[in-house]
Amino acid sequence: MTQMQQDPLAGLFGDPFQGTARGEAIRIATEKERKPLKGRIPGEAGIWIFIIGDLIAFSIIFLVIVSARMDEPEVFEASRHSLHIEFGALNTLLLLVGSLLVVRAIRAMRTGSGGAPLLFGLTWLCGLIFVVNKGIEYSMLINDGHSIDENLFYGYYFIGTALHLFHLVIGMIGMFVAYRISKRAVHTNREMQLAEVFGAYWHLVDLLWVILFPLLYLMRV
Amino acid sequence: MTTSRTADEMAQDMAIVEKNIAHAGRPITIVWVVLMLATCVSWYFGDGHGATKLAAVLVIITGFVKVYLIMEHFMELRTAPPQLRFAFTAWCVVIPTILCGIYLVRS
Repeated sequence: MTQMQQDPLAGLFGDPFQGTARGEAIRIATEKERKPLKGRIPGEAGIWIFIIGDLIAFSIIFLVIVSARMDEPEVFEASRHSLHIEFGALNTLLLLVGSLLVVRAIRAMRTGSGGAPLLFGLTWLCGLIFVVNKGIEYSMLINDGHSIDENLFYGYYFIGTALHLFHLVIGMIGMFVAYRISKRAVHTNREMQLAEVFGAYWHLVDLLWVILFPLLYLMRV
Repeated sequence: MTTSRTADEMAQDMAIVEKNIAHAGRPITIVWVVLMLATCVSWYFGDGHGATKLAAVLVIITGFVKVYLIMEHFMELRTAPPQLRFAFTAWCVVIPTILCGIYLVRS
C-alpha cells in the first residue's frame, strides 16, 4: 500500500512490486538470469550433463581395468599380447580423423561455406569402417579361441569395447541426423545446436577410445 | 520475465562462435597432427620400448594429454564457461593420477 501512495501510477506503468519483498525476490532472480555468461556452452547444457555422467561411468571401468591388471599381471600381459594391436590402432586413427571432420563440418555450417554434408557423411563412414574393423577383430579373437569368460582381461576387454561400440553406433546415428540437418540450405539456431550436440558426442566417443586403447592394448606390466 | 537469452548474451555467443571459427583453421589441423604423433609415441612405448614402469606411466599420461587436447580444441571447452572447463580439466588430471598411483603402488 505504501508503494501505491508514493506513486499512484506505479501499478499501471511501472513495477507493482518495487520496494516490496516480492519485488526484491523478482529483482534478484532477474539479475541472476541476466548475469553475463563468461563463455559459451557448445550445443546445450544437457549434453554436457550426459557427457559428465558417461565419463564418471567409464572412469570406474578404467580404474577397475588397471586395478585388476595389478591382481593378475601375468595373465593380463599374456592376454594383451594376444590382441591384434593394428586393429586397435586403426580404430584410433578412424575416430581421430572423424573428430577433425566433425570440427570442420560444424565450422562449415556456421560460416555457410558448404561442404558440411560431405564432412558429416565421411565421419559416418569412419564410424562404419570402425564397426567393420571391430567385427573382424572380434571374430579373429573368437577364432583364436578367446571368449569373454576366458579370464578377467578378456572379460573387461569385451565389456569395455562392446560398451564403446554401442556408444559409437549412437554417434553414427547422430552423424546421420547432423548430415540431414546440414543438407538444408538454411538451418535454425535449434538445428545448429543439435549438430553441435552430436559433434560433442562424437568427440566423447573418440576420447573414450583414446583411453580405452592404451589401457587394454598398450599398458605393460 | 523471460527465460530466453538477452541480446547481449547472444551477441557474446556469436563473438565466441566467430573466435572458434577463426581458431578452427590451421591450429585445429596442428592439434590433430599432435594427436596422431602422440598415438605413435604411446604405441612405441606400449610395444616394448623403454623401462616397463616408465613406459606404462607414459602411456597413461599421453592418453590423457590427448583427451585434454580433444576437450579443449575439438569440444570447444576452450571458450566454455570456466566451471565446465575446470570440471573437465580436473578429470584429465585426477583420473590419470589415480591410475598411475594404483599402478605404481601395486607393481
